[in-house]
Amino acid sequence: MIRRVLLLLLLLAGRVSAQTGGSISGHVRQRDGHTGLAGAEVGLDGRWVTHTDSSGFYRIREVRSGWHLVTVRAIGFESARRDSVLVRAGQISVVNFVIDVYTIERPIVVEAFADSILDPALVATVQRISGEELRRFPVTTVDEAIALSAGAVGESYRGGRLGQQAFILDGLGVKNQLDASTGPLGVRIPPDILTEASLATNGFSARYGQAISGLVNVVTKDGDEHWGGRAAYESDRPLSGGADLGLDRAVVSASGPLPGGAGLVAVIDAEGRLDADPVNAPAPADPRDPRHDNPALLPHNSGERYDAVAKLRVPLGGPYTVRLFALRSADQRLLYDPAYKYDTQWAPAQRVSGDLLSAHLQRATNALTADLRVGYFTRQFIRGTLTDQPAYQFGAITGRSFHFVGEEMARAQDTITARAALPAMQTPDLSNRSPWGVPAFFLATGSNGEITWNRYRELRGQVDFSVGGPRSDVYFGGEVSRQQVRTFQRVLGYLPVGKGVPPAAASTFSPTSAAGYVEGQLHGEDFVLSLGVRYDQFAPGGGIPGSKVGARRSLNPRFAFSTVLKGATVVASWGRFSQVPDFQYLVDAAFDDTMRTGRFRRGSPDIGFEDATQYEFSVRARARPNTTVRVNVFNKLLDGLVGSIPLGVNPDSSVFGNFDFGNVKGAELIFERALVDWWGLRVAYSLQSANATATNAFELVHRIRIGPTGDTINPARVQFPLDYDRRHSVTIIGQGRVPAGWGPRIAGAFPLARLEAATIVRASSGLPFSMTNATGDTLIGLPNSYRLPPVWTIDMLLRRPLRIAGRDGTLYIDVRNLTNRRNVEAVRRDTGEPQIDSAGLAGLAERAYQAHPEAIPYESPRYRPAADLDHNGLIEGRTELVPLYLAAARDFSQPLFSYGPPRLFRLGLELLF
Amino acid sequence: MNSNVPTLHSSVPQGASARARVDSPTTNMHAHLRIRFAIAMAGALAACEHTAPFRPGAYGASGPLNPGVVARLTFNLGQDLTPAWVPGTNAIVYTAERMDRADRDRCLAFMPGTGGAITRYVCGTSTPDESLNVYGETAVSSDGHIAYVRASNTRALFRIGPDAQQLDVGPLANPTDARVVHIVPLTTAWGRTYDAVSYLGWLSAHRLVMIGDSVRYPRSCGSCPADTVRTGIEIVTVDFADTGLGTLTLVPGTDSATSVTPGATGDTIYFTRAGDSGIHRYAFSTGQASVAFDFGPGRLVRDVTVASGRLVAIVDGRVADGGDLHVVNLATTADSIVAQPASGGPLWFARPALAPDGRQVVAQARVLTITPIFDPATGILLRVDTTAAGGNDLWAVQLP
Repeated sequence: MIRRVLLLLLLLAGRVSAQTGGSISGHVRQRDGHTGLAGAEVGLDGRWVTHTDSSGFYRIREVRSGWHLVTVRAIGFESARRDSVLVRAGQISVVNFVIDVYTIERPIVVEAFADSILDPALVATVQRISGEELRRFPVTTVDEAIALSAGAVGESYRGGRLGQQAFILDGLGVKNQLDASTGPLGVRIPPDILTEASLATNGFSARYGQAISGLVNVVTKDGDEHWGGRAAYESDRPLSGGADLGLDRAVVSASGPLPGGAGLVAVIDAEGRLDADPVNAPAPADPRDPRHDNPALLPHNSGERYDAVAKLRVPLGGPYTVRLFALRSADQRLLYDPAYKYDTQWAPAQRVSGDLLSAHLQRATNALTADLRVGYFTRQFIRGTLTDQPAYQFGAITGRSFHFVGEEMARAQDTITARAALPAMQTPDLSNRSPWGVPAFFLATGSNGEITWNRYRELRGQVDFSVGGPRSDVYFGGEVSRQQVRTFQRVLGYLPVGKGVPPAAASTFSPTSAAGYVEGQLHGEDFVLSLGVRYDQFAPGGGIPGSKVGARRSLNPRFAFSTVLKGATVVASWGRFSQVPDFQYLVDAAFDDTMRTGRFRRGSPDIGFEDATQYEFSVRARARPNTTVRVNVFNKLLDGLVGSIPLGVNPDSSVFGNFDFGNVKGAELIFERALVDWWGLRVAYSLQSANATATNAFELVHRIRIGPTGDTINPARVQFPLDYDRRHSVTIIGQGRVPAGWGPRIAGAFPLARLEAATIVRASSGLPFSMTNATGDTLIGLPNSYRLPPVWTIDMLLRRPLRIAGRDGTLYIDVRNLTNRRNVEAVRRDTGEPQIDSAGLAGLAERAYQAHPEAIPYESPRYRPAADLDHNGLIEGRTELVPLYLAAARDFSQPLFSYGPPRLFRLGLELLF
Repeated sequence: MNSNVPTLHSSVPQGASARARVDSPTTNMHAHLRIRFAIAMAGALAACEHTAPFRPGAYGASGPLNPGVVARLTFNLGQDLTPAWVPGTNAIVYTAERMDRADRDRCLAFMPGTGGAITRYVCGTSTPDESLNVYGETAVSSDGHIAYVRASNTRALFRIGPDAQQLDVGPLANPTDARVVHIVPLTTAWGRTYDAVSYLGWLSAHRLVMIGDSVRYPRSCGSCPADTVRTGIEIVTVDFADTGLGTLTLVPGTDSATSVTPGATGDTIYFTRAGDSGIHRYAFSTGQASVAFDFGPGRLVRDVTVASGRLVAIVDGRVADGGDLHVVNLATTADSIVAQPASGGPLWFARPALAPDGRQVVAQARVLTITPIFDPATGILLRVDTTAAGGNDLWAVQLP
């Protein structure tokens, strides 16, 4: 029986990871004799789209992810309908009908949702989460949900660097091509508009092939058939101490029909946090440190974000539909800087905002589907000193945009005005407001003098065609995008340019990218063959000094073969992927990044694609009706990775190039039991080894040493782990639900009944890091040859459904890092520990004392009575001063950001209407 | 995560219609309670205050280190000079030598008149630079302006005197945002040249009084360090508008003036003269001068200040080092000398500033070392050498 089902699936013309839709197929049979009913008309969402063939088989292609209504009618027979048919992207949903001749018996409907485990047409390595699951799991954003996937380390997938992934929203590519490796996308999809989100780490369609680590695909809802929505409020206000981090979040969503068959979805999601980047570092031992009594919240660390999205679907008649989408996101944050711990008004802040507008015209018939998409994406980033400290209106919500010193000059890219010291910027001086008083480490009276601004815009046009036959599908199309990049950065703005103060760096250029692809699937009796090829090119355009190379081109073929053997689907795939590097590497700038570079960087305008070639073998099996097992084994060869080497003699100067190459290989084991009979379980384990190979002569001669004495072999090349090489990783997701009417009865109610719980346990080995000597100019051993300790966390979400005046609602509590485990995420390179050692502290204190050995008189704001041991009105000499410098050094060196986040609570109440 | 068989959805599946329900009176009552509960929950959540992040404490000193009738306010190893009261507050401003800066600038320092930590420094630059800048001879008006003399000297050139001086007036909130009222040195319309100016005082919002000085740098020998000898020439008023330089007017009968201070109204000044034991008073409206008080023949009198019917002056001692602090009740002409502090003295005072309410005096002072000199042969006391310590600090004296 299973084999027949499998063969049935094989015969179906599947699809190669068409990312926004799936298909529906099945048989219509007469009750008597179970013979197939030919010529029956099959409808989708009120529109008749196809007929059954001679065997009673039908297929509806290019069905958008989500819930749909399927109806069947035939002359002489009872009509039948099935609503709530769930279609997932890239999957086939099977809906069979058995109907009677003019009888009043209800038709028996066999509802068998698509089995992506056994479907050989699904060659991509995909892990998905639905919008509904997002609400049931202790995750808040799409990124957090995707991070549950096997092989994911935050936003790093299969050892890839941040920014090496691609993001697809309703079939349209969206990417911060300027600085994806160091900055956020700029727009955020509110989870309430989500139908599903998935991560594909291999074998994804040539349509979206421009990513070498993974593809994040998001499908949003269309308007519902009936008006409804959700209002929710989350907070941690009722809690105290370290449990209250100043969270307030409100979400309002609405969805429903409009005249003419149109549908509208709109969501507003706003969140404020008094501590937007909470730390879990140990409290200082010194009671004089103000953080001693209140270690949880950091001052000047608040943040607020707003996301507003609206989507309109308008059927134009027949097979034509247009969808209009608008998304606006803004995220502004105060940034805690330890140097400004006691004078936070001088610490920096940042604001990121993004807009995405898209229009999608679709012509969908069973034989041919054509999609025309146009998208406009803009993203703006600014960081610097605020002109005024924000006034909070409610919690951390200010309701007003931040304004920055020098903002107008930065937007105008006025490098001439920027040559002089900025009038509104003051030179920082050593603070006198610390408990220690001594002039060391802590700053006041002026900011760090930075103003950084950049803007990225993209206009993209994309056309896709899908042609289906009885045993094949062909996809082809292309895209063109025109981008615009503007950057500006000025550092040390309180000083004029010159005498070690670099001039402002600005860039203006307009790259162009284009791509084309063709892809097809051929179905044999017991196998599926997928072939595709993608062509990519990008050209930086004029405006970048020193550019010698014009357009860069890349051709990337894909191949996959899948078959079903003894109840398991086996897929072997090979593919080549190319990715455009961040545009920030093409121009001079001074960004913080993960590239081991210095402060002022020379751009390299001739940088080309980063490439990957991936081989993968996977086996998927359904051990039981509710249980699946997947095993993936992969080997990914990386080439042309962007790296940096020092330039000239200034250790702070470096230049980029496609220097590095490497290899990521690993295996993933995923076991899943669906949520049936009140519980479900998913266990994902990944074993991975990600290594880079360096041939850079400067690094090898000056920094990397082989041999115990440190002065021997300079190898021609060395291999070392990539920054995101996490060898072992386990993610366990458990779900449970208490049945209705179960549990103790209290005051006429069953408080435990219908209680839902989801727990996520994550455990993984540590990421690699490099050790250096005390001055940081020589590596100890090979790069990344040391490991951080293992990390693990437990997250939990408890939900209690309610009914209020006929409306459904839920009370919930979401706890992240339930045990408040202090995971080490970063260490000092000189000690290999998060905290500085005693010798380092003593050195810091001594250098600070030597810089300011003068006595501190009684009337000075720096005077601290307890330190005046002889009570003579002067804190003077080593005996009285050095202990203060030591305490200040210890305060300044607290490893605040070396640990993962602390336990976080969200108490929430939602109402559905 | 990917469930491939029908799952039982959470409370309401997205897109599905709500379940039908028949309401009974009891159910309605429970529903109202639930509505109120939900509203109360949301309101309670929103009404709670969030925990606030940590904040730095107030760490500076409060009050003098050793309180007393005569209490020391500053312990700076550098010079603390020429205090002045800020009208309408209990604060003083003075010139403090910044020993914590490489350029050793002498900046304005604001602190409570009763002692404690400096609340604000005003310097030319927030960080040390190549020049020595001095802000001195401060006077604060009742309408929130501050007048001072700013001098600067390029450190590397090791000149004796300042490279540049100017008389500035600016807002008290931001004294460095000042306008130049006059450049110094200056030559008056009547031909006098002042090398410096001192003893600034406010007569009105646009009128100052000050002394024009002659400054010499004599050396007792060729290789000896130079002394700075400042000699008062005469008293002038400076009338100034919002722009342009000020206009100087000579106050008659003030030659050889050694100090000047405004009276209770802008129409009167009190001043001292070299070699004169009296405190003189001059009224601008009448042009009449008189002697407010005479300390007696042979007394060395200077540094007069007047407030609330009291007059404070420095008497005897040495001009360069200071002297005794005398308080005179102008109504009764009773003269009293301020007692020495219980510890930390004896002191010689200079440049006293009398609080507007007349209850406190802040003055710069130097600690004296009194050394009796005996004839080694006979043991007879020959003389007493009084040596003043190198640095000036501020002291506060509480007056009854």
